[in-house]
Amino acid sequence: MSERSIDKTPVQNRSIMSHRDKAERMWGFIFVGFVVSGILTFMGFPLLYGIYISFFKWSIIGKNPVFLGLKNYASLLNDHLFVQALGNTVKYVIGIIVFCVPLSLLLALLFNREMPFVEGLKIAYYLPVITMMVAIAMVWRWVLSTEYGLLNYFLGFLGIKKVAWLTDPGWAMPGLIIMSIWKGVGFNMVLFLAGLKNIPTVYYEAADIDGAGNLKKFFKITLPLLSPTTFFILLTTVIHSFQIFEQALILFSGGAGGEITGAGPDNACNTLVLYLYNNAFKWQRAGYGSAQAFFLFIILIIFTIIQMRLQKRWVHYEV
Amino acid sequence: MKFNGITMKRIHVGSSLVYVILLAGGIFMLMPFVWMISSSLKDMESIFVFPPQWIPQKVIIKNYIELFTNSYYNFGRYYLNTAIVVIFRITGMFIFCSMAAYGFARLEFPFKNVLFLLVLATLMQPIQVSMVPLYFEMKFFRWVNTFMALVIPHSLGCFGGAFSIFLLRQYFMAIPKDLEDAAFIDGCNIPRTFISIMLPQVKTAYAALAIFNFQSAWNDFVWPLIVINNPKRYVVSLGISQFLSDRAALTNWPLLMASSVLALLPIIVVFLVFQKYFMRNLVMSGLK
Repeated sequence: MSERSIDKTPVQNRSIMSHRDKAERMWGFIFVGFVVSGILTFMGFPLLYGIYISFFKWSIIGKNPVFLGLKNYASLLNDHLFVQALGNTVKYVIGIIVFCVPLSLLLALLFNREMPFVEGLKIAYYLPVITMMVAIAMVWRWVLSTEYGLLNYFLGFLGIKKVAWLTDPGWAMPGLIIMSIWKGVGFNMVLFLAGLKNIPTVYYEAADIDGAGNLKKFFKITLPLLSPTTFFILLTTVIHSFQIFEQALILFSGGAGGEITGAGPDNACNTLVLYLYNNAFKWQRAGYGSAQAFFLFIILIIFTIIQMRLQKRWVHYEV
Repeated sequence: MKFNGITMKRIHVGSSLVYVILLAGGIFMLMPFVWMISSSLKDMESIFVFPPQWIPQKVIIKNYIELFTNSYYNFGRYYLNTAIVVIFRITGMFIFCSMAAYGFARLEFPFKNVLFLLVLATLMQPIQVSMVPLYFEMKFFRWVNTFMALVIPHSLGCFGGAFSIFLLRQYFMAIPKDLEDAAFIDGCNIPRTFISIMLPQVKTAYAALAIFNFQSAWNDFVWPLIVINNPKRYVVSLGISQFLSDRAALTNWPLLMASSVLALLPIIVVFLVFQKYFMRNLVMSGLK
């Protein structure tokens, strides 16, 4: 057996593979083979098959598909419900970016110091992150309920009149966003904290010597050196938020709202994934749903490419 | 010295202000949980008392009993099904993802880098995008309403499982090559080296990954929603969503809250016990 390692070292004749290399090649394919075939079966093929389906009129029962060419894509633009769903999704994404990301940065900054029981406090913020969205949304149906809801109860202390979070078309989306912030703020907070911990303290010490104030330190040191983390968080949040689905589905199903399951009052919370789910699984329009899915996929790909490109160019890593 | 004293004091005041803010925020974060638990212990009369009673005047556990005994909401069954899914997914992940991770980390074979990129690319493809074709595929495999559908794809590193492969690969790459070489010289073949030499070296990764996979399997909703429609195969998340199709149950807040408690309790207990692993997982998944 030891001859294997002997004939491996000089490699005089490269055309003849050593026994060991051959074995490694075979075992290499076997070791990664299960996972690779799984990925091709459950992720690669469905992606292509989905594009194929999107060219057909096809029901989820799967009978008699009719070829439509690009018609499904053309009707996307004329479908006011789809345009509305796209608008709602963008609204949701912007809401999360504008409120959730800065809030989590603020929390991370506040947490980034020596304090007693600080780890215990962090748990409170992190607890919603690890829990099941479906159950959380059920609880929030109750929290957001107009007459007896917890949120209106607290807003009452501030003299704010009862808001119909789940039944008023103007307030449904803000309600959905508030719930998502509560659920997700701890996630970004922990990421920001990790980023803050990576900033070398020498910069702050130097700034102290120069007599820089806290605000100046934040804008001149913290924010620039935190940019890789901030950047990562912003883009993953965008990508993640575009996929919003189960929050709305649970929050609004069976309540006020029209024919679209989970879309909320006047379809105010009809999102891209929700609409495609309804099309494919409730209304037997699998082909049309697949066209929407591909549209969503393109959006996600664009943001992913932006992320990869800009990460290389702009963000300065110091490791 | 005086100067020092002043700054010390200022820092102290600033810190306690921060502390108060964070404490208030933390209470706000926990409020829905507390309210959920308190509501779950009430009956239909006391639930609509306003202002809300945080501690129920009489504690009622009838809701919990109903969730386990009522034939319509069979939470015992949902728990069992979810446990089966969780256990098999974690086992499958251990077997297939560590094999792939070892292959990518240590073995040389053609197209290795391309295949690894393929694995990483799956992290960018959400399940939402291929719900329809996946449903057709599951129908073709006759996997609709089976545990196969709930377990196999995730065990093979799909739907986010690539994270496990990526992480394990990092661990394998950190092991000194000498260890393996010594094993080969002693006549150990590749599978044996993997099982008896390499696997024990990455034990620490498994604790974190088991928890990560427990969390994602327990909370999983979208995938079961697509492939399971038989209540006998419902997992907990689907069991809860069942309330949505029943208007009477939807206004039965105590029962709804009790079901939410049942869904959240296991994951919260696991979180509180293994808290440090959760945070570490998160930071690793975030900074990949």
